[in-house]
Amino acid sequence: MRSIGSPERPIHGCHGPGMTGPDNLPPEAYAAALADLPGIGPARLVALLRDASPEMVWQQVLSGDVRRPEPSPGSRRTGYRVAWAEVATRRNIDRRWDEIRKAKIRVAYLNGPEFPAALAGDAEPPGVLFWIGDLAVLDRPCVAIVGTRQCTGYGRAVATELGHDLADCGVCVVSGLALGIDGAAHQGALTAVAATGPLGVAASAVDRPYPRRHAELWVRVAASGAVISEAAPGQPAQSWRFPARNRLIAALARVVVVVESHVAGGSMLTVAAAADRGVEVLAVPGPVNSPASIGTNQLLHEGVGPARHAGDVLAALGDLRSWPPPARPAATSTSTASRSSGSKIRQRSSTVNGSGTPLPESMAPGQGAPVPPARGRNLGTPELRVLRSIDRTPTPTSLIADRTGLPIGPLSVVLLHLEGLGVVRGEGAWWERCDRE
Amino acid sequence: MLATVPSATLLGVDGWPITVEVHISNGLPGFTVVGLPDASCREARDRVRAALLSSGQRWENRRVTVNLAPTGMRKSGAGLDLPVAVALLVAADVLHSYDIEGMAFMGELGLDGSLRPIPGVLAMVDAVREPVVVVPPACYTEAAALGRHEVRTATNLRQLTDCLQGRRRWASPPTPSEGQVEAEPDLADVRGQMLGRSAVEVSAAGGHHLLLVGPPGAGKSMLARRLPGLLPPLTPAEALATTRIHSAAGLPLPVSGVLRRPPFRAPHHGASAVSLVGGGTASMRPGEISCANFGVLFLDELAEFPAAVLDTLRQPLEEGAIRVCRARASVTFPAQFLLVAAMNPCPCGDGLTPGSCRCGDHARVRYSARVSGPLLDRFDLRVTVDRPEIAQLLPDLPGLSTPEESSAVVAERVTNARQIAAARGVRCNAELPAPALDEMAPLTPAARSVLEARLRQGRLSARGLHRVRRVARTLADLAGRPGPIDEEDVCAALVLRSDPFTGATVPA
Repeated sequence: MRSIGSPERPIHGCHGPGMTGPDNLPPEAYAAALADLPGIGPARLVALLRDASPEMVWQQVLSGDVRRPEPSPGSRRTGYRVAWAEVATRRNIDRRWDEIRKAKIRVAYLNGPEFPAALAGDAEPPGVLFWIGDLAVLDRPCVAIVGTRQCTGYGRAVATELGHDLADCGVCVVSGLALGIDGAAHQGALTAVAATGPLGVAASAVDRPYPRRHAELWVRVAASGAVISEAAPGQPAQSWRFPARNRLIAALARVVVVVESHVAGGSMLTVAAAADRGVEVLAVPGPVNSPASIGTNQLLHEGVGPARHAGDVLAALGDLRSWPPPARPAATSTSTASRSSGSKIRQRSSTVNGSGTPLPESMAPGQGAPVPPARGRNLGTPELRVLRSIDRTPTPTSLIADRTGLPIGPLSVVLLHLEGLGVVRGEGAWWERCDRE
Repeated sequence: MLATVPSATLLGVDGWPITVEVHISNGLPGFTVVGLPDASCREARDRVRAALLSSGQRWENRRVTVNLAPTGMRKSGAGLDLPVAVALLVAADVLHSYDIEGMAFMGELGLDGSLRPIPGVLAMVDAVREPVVVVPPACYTEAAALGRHEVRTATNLRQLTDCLQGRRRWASPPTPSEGQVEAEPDLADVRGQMLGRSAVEVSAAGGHHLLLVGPPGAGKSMLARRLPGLLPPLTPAEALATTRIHSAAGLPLPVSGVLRRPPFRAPHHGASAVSLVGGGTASMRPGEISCANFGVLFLDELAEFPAAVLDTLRQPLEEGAIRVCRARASVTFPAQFLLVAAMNPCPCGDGLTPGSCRCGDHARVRYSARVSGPLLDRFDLRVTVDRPEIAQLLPDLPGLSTPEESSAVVAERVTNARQIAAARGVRCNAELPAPALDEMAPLTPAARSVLEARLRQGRLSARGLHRVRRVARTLADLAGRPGPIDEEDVCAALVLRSDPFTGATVPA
């Protein structure tokens, strides 16, 4: 595996690859500067970088050999356009590069050493790519989970579960970090314990979380996987970037799953981009009278395969395991043993959620924890009683209390215990069963 | 020709002594009231004139000047009718000044001379220094509740004049008819709702503010209305303080004159900020939050209240009092209430059950954002309430269904818990100061590790920790576990304080 994304590797200095700049700037610094030129898009960047190194292109821009294209005849903007040469002479790329490095933002350019192979072979690759996190997640099979921002509770629940289950099986969940389905898929992937980090493909720059409400999610995705973007650091989300972002999602994924989509929308653009690239598309069936599922149901009608659960998606990846997987090796703990300390609870949960079914060679988790021997679940009676009263969808505490008839004290102990075991996920006043039985 | 009569007026929930001076002199006939009277006070002249004539007195057709001292203070209300009439009678030599020696008067006059009740008598009597006060009959019990004064009453001006002249004995105090005490709703009526019932009990025992979230028809209001019934009766000091506020606000008082049960106030969500916090009129009427002092303030449909109105609650929730400042006066109202609020999880109301909600993502987030974070943080208990399941509403064998616990049983546990809290020197556990928690609410190692894990996961803030420990203390007190707080109570406190919205918006 290439050593991409390891933050320890010195970037600035004489050890980096392709050290040609007069100020000892790596080519990545020039690539970042090129991507930051006003009005430059992926197509133009690719055309410039296809045959020349970033530094050469930068020199051409400085000398005026590469000019900013004239506005197209149909364009409504007719005001004065600052020439690139003018912009470039005023840019202090030394300082910009320092800022980029300090923000832990990584840069790759087309034909560069760190450019992801999946994108290099694409018909519409990005010219320059920015990311935070570790691009090693791209070595795993990638599945895009996309859908509408205006999702229903059903779509959210399905997206979360798919994200969780796929991440649990060693799949890298690719999505757009948007509200609704995208966010839910990322959330689900992040909750999987033996998870592969998800990949977020952003329309705004990696240091400009958009939507703001997902700033925290953004950080968590970057911490466990990576957030990538074509936009140079500091650039806000522009409307043309969103369709462009969707093509990247399609280019990176081996399977695209549409969870919910209205008649038209961003996810339909992703589907079109996937179809252009021959990437398999799956759609989650939805209620026929739900406006949020019209798009997905239409896809199904047109012959796209259904995605009922993670098993269908894995099958599309070539992994024909039975789904749901057979019972997992369970915690043998009695309630008192694991309750005694927080650290024990954490240890316990990692074993329970460790992948019980061996993955095919291509998909085995990298951190490959040894598969624990199967042991029968040995939960106490109240635990089982509580577990049976929790649904697979978020169940409010009040409903669990009424179903079990347990007083609040013992019920809370059991709930927190089950959560510690990883059998139940708790979020606010909601609990959700996430074991495999 | 000159007479002075002591009385009092009301500002906020406090009485202020007033001296009514009447001067009758020769000159152009007229009647002037000076000393910053408000409109209703100035109208006293017409009421007093009619009342005197109806009572068979002569009207002095001379120059009459009424002065309300201290003159710098604004007087309001019709309570000064009676002292003005009495002073006129003294000035006109119908009464001697020694007839009214050591007496203060307050009351409104009807045109027929009858004495009518006025608001705020308790506070006003409190401000009076004279040993005897004369009040309208309807205010007798209220004025006597303080116990510092000899309270006398008469039904009309003619009777009062006779009594003052010694031609008639003072009427014996009206015996309060033992009106039926309004039965408070019983907790036994609530079917199921295990979590809701526990939350209401913990809220009553520890004085923890409670937020109920659930779909319409789940029984949120039903639970909230049963909370005051679980609270212990007011102590004499609390009863007086609360009666004073209710009296000043002009609310009907029980026949005994003094509130014994904690009040329950449920303002509609159309309420204005002033109606909640007080002020508004010249006499600075106390608001709903003060009327709920030592009782329960129930805000149904919390999200429908304007955000500006809700945020006015933050200061009183923290300090137990609210200072209302206006150009003419600033008044401090007591506001030590237990806040109980109810709201739907989302605009369509069905957000608790996945799949049945019809709301878009934005709509849900916007709806939950209507309650500001700082206000949400003040709720120690935040629970969801579900519609009861069919089996609970229609048991298979109606005769054999086990009856739910009644309010009386729960109230006994609540009273015990409150007594334990009182032994710690606070009114309830919610008031335990944070530095004293280590001493008053120590943790067992198991409980400690549960909290530690939560803190490390970033799912509990430092302030949240204090609140959880207070709730856990209350749970332990209710269960009769005096020692350090065990894991069970800490877990329950955590579950009772879970965020009722994140799960709905981001089930992850």
